[in-house]
Amino acid sequence: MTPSAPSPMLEDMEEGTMAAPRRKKVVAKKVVSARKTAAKVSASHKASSVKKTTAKPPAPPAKKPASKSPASAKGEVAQEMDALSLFVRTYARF
Amino acid sequence: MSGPVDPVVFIRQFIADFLESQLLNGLLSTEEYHVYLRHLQKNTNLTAISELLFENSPDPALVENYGPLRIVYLREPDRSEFPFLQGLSKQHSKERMKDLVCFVGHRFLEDIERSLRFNLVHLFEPHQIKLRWSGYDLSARDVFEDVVAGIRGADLCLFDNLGTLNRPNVYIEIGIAHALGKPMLVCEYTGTRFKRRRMPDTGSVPSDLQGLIRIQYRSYEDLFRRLYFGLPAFLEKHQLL
Repeated sequence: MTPSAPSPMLEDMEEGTMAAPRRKKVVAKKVVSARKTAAKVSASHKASSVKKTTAKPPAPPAKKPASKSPASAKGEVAQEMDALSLFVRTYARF
Repeated sequence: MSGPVDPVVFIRQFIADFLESQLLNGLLSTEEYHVYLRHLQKNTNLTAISELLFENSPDPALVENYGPLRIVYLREPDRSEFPFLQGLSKQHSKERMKDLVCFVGHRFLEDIERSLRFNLVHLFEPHQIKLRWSGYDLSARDVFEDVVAGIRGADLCLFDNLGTLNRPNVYIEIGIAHALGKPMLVCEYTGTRFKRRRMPDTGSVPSDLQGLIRIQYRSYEDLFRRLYFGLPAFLEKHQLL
């Protein structure tokens, strides 16, 4: 493992917050499924997006291909150079 | 965390740290790293994604074109919390025949137990890794034999030396794991103190063990990022995938 820059220490918080409910579970799954339903766009290689509303502006035009990168030289598309996609792929495979 | 977390700032920094870890571990070239980083800075969808993840926490959110992700709140030994981003498998089907077992060695203090084990369960569960620790088998008559059996039966081990000054048990367990040839993650606390609660002093790793690869950390937020980012390579290296 290679160390990265150390994170700052946590600041003071009130006693006993560990067990205290501090976040609302606001209809989380419904929101997700609604968005998922609304977002049935095939676009397997489009720029990634979260469909929050239908009024969202159209997806940006195809990203500038990272033509000089080794990845694109192997035929991968622009989304493959998306950092969040890389993160998901890294942990989804096992 | 100090004050409220800005979701997109947190996600962007988390992913940037992930990229840097990939770079330093040789999994990305410098050119790839900078392309990824540039795309990350320009990702206009990241704000909506980040807000969705924090709204749903701790439930996973299926983000289109990405897959399931979740924000969970992990614990520091001083009982404060910090958010943590996890990528999850797309399906629950188990490709591995059986779960892996990780033996965990640490100082037996309530604050450490409640934070370290809690965090590790969240970190490992998506990867089908179960925890076991010394004293896990309450029916065991001999603690030392139980420790040896626990380490022997484990697929990997994790040791944390936080608060171990004059309490060498963890180092003995490290020695046992080393002798048995077990893959292990040795976590070495190098901070001075946690802010909210005073922790017992932490001894330095004995010189005989300093040749081991150690993960030095100043907080559990720091440690768990490093663990998480290094976990895929660690499992692959030891053929545990």
